[in-house]
Amino acid sequence: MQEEVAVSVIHLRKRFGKFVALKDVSFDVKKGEVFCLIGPNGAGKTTTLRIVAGIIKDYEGKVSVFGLSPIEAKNKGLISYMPEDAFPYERLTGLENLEFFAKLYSNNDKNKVEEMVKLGIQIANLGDKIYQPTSTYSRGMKRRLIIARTLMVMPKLAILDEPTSALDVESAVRVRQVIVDMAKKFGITIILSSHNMLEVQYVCDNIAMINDGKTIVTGSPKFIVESLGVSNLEEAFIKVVSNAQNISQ
Amino acid sequence: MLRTFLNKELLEIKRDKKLLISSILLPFILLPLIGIILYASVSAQPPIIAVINQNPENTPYVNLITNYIKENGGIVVKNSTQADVVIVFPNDFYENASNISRQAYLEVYELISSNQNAINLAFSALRELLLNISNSRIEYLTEVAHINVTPASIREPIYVVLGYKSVSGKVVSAGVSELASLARIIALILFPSATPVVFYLLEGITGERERKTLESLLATPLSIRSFIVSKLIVAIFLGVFSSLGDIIGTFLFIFLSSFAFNITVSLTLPFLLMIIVVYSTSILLTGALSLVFLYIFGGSTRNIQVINFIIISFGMIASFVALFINPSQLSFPLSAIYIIPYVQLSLGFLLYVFGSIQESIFSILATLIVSVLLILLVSRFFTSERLLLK
Repeated sequence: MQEEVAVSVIHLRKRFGKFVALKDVSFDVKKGEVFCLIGPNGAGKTTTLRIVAGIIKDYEGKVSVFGLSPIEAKNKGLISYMPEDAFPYERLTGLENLEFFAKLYSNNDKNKVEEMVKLGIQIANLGDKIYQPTSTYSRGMKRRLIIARTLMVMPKLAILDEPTSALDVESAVRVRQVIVDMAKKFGITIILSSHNMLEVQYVCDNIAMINDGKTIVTGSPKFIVESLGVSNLEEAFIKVVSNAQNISQ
Repeated sequence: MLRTFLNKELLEIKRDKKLLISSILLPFILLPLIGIILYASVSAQPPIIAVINQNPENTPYVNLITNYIKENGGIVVKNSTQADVVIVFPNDFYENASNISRQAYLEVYELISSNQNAINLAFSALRELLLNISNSRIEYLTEVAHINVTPASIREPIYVVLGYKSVSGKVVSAGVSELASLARIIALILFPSATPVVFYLLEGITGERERKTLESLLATPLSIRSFIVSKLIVAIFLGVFSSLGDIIGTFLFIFLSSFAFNITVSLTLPFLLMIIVVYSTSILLTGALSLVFLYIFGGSTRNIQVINFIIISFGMIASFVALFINPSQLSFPLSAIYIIPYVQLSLGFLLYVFGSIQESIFSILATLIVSVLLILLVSRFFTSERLLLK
């Protein structure tokens, strides 16, 4: 039986003025899986994620999220997105930050807000610090709060742009576990980007490697490693990127 | 959703002490402070006039002048170095003044940039002396000529009755004329003070980008229009608070400076309401213009400075127009200045004071409608991509 596709990206192309950021990006994300976008800096990962998140709406190609356009899915509250360098509102406490986002996603339904915030507190794991303004938080603590804010709303699709950057080893391990758990327990589809191949190997069910605005290869980490005849994802990444550069030269 | 976002905005503002102090508290302090300084500078600096007499025979005339100055709050000194004005009675003054066939002369020196009150008082005293001497001469001549006339009928054969009319032709009191002058001053002070809305609105929108909270927000179900309207409401809220400070501060300034300059101004309720209407409209117009320019230029720090400069320039033009131009006498092509933002408001305000109520209402209402339309139109064109990347 064919697994249900949550996100479908077909021949995606995006230009900013004369600069072509995405030339041809295609991939499918299955419902409930953790899907990773990997590629060197400037490959087009963030632009792709922004399009899927419904932030950028002018593009060529076809993108659907649960059968809807990204904008429709965003407006219905199906998507929750964590940008790479997102910060919380610094004059609000951690709790107030969670409450604010919970209200946006629950249309101010008190019970839903309570549920979401409870889950958010659990994911953030900040102890009593949750009651303090986030201006007093370390960068890692802010990152944990934002991950919690993104996942607590129980979206159908969570998009995480480099979720574990700026986190210490212990927090990064914890966040990875949360990501896997959210996908498995609640069936949340997750797309994340990362430069950490160890993380990708541990967390992701499937991968799309992007270079210079084009999808180079897609598949499971195991499939990619085996098909390229390398010993790990890091080697696979280097091989794919250097092959692509040789072809373009 | 709009309410949720507004509550978050207000909570953030409540905790931003620096913003609250600079936008609400400072205007309450600054403008009355100017009034106090003006009052203090006038009351602490009474007019000082030096009267130098070069001949003891001039003494009756000198006494007349010194008494007049003292009775009217001035200080008379003999040393010219401390004085704002120096009056010198030369050696031959008595001889010339008392001879009907001669013209006496006096020397008056004014210290550069001196107290204007001292200059006015010195010339009032000299006029008193002039009247005294001319009256004596007329009385002498009527006695010699055996005719029955009063000195006033010879010296001032025409008595001028001064009255005031509005542009509609209605005769008005002198108070209305003073109110018109006051309206020009209010327009001069108040229009630039509506411009903080530019900062509140642009900082509110682009600040989300700079503080890296915008992208997460744009991915939520919150609509762009709700986002922009919320930011606008908060900016207007702050602008109104800041304006209330300005308005109250302006009236305190007028109150204190009227003491300093001894002017009586009667403020009516419609006049006060008009100030509030004009001011609220100018705040709304500022919000609309800020959004239009933000859409055109984008929200970088440099662009925000450019937008601020453009809007403040419009405000300054309106202030100067209010100070120097008589709207009832504007004809084409000069009347084209009505298309400059804020100018139609400042002229509308003046038209009201000058008695052209209908034209005034039309001018202000047109600005109000255009502002609302601009806000609705521009908030429709903004996209998340434009907010985030431009």
